[in-house]
Amino acid sequence: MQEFILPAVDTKTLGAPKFEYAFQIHARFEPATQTKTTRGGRYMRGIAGGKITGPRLTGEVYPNSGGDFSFVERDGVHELNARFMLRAADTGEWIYVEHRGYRRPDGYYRIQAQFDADKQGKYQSLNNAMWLASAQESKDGAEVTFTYFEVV
Amino acid sequence: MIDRRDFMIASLGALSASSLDALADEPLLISSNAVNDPSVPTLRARYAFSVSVFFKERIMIESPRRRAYVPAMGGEIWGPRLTGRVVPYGGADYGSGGLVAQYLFQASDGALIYITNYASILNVDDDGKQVSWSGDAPPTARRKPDEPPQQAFVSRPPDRKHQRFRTMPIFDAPVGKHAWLNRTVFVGHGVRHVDPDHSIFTYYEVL
Repeated sequence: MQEFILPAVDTKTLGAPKFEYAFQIHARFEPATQTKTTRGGRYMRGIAGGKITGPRLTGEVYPNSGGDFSFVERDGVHELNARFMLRAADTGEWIYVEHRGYRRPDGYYRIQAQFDADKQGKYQSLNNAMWLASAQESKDGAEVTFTYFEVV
Repeated sequence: MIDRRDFMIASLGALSASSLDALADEPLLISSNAVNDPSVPTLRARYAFSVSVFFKERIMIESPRRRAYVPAMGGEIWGPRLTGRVVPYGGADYGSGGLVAQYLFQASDGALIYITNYASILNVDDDGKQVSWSGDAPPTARRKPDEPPQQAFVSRPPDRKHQRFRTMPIFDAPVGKHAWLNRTVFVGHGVRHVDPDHSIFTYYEVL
């Protein structure tokens, strides 16, 4: 290891990442099914529908287009694994959403998201960008609001 | 061992000696932009650690999906939340299209931490503005029928002044002091350098 030097990060030249608020998805979920598997557990709920609001996208969650199928670890932490479809209100374009992240018993519910949109469509900018989201579940657990930020 | 200052001057070119000290600063906290809507929460992230990964060779197989092999020779980890080293040849970038690198870190206390680093490269122009996304390897020319494949390639200098990555890492740390890495969402960025060929990743934990 002696030959490796510790260069500093070139942040001043390029700038640190910034988080820009893009939109929110107010999702409605079906009641959850929980199973115990040989590896751990699954906590699964289908996405019934939802609304998208915000500066960069408005539209709807396509009803019953997927859901969250988290893997439940032994310590109760959910490894999030969600996918579902959106439709933009103005152009009717389809957008695919994928979530990865963690939901902890202490309330931490954070997501790395990925979008797939038509590369020549109006929402092509969602594609090659990095997304973070924070999520908040309603008291009855039936609704979750996902707030998406682009990492620029 | 080269003096750090000489190394920085050699690899970063025109930067003045005084600005080298400024490079040591790392913004500790990132907050999302202020939004005039009380239902929109603020997202915050805090600087966790930085990693340098050194590369010796870069291989690109022209299979239908173009598979890369870029092994990690080693490197250092430093920062408020983790210190240690990159285990030499503990992993590589086996990317196919996007970059999916898997490396092995070893914390200063000996714990082995596996990292899967999903990354995308973007080219930035001289003002740091995003210009385009690109793959890492240069396109290979069509081969003549008897010509053997040229798979090893020298890492060329980035097209623009800088090539920057965004990364979404996933960690697998053992039970114990570093297990929090397994339960926290991270975001990172990286900068590629040539001569010597290495990348520096900076990781922020999302709060």
